[in-house]
Amino acid sequence: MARYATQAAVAGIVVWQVVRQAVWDGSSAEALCPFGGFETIWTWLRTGRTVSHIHTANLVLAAAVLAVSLIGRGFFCGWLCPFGALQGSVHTAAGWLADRVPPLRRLRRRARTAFKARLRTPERVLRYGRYAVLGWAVAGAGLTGTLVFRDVDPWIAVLSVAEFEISLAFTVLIVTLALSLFVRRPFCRYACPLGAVQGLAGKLSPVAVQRDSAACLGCDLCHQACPMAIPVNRRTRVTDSSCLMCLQCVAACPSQDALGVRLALPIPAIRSVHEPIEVS
Amino acid sequence: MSTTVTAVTAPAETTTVAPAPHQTRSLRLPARRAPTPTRSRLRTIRLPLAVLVAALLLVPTVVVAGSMAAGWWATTGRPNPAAAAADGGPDGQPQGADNAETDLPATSDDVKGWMTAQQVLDAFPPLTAAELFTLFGVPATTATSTPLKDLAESGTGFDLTDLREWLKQHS
Repeated sequence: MARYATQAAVAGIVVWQVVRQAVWDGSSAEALCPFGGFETIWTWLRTGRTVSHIHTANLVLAAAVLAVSLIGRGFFCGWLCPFGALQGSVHTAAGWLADRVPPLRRLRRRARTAFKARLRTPERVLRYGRYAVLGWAVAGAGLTGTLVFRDVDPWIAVLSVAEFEISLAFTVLIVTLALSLFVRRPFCRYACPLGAVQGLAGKLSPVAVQRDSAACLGCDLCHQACPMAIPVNRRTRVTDSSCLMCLQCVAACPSQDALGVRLALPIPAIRSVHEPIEVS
Repeated sequence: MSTTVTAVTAPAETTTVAPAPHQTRSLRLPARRAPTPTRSRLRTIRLPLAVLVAALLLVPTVVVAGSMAAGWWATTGRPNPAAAAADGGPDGQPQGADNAETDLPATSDDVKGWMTAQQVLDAFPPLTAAELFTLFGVPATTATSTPLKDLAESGTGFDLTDLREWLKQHS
């Protein structure tokens, strides 16, 4: 509930900024996108100026997101990102509708089964796509001095939805929302460059969801609850770069002490020679 | 007197059946799967979820609030006249503005979409309105007070990047 309230508050701030820009022609709504800070960082360090459409607010937010991800991994993605919240909302609404319309439920089930049966390996490869997008966006902005990613950024299409312009970014937005009907957070999984930054920075985080195998029931509810399909029930510590720290797995776990967030200390754990090994 | 003889049969031999392969599979490690350790390598302490979430929400709030207080927060490239009268940010820039911008662009890179054609003409004196409009296909009857971004969106073929390039080459 707290997560939904936080996402709603952030979405409200963005909507307010869009209205301000449209009505008073003042502040830019794009100034609230943290990824703009990463795109302009090279130009800013070299010339002291930001790339077009980018302001110092983008740099500040980029620093804030970096600080959050060094502590809490993908916490920004899981709790604050409005585009992730939009995808989640579409998926939840599709699930609600499918529960009430049997043909839709069967269609979703067939799509999910086909996906698991045939696309598991390509899906794993596609997960690296967001790093390719990150490299292209940051390198392109640094070399050309323009936001190369802006032309395909679905978030720009969301901010410009009132203009009803059919652009490449709008097409990416429609494809993302269509995929969200069947897959949770498709843009986050396969194409989000900001998520890629957080995934890399999050590798340095000492905080992670940890599973106590003694208390684990093996019910797989955590795996099903995870929006990024991380097999939490097969991990001791969830250090995957795609972890959003949304804590859905912790909330879904029926066992009281099986899942929790733990801070790793720079002290080796005492391990017994006869430590049981779990084979999953 | 008849007697009934009941044949006594020897007890059936018990045979042991080897377990099926699927029953013994769980005793073997999968071919390419490493065993999952049941403990982490480092010692860990549990974090209360409420504390964690509150701390992680506080971090960006503090960063943004601190940048606003320091004058580093700007969401527009236009100078704020009210804030310019107050103390500037750490670089002496007026608060609420990027790159210490004034009304006129200093170089071709400073030309922004919200600027008008007249501001560009004032900043680059040899250029006249007739030349500017002819070079970039803008109708001659266009007012020079038109923002450049409106010219770009008017479908005349005007492009801000092309203008910056041209100004860079000819200034």
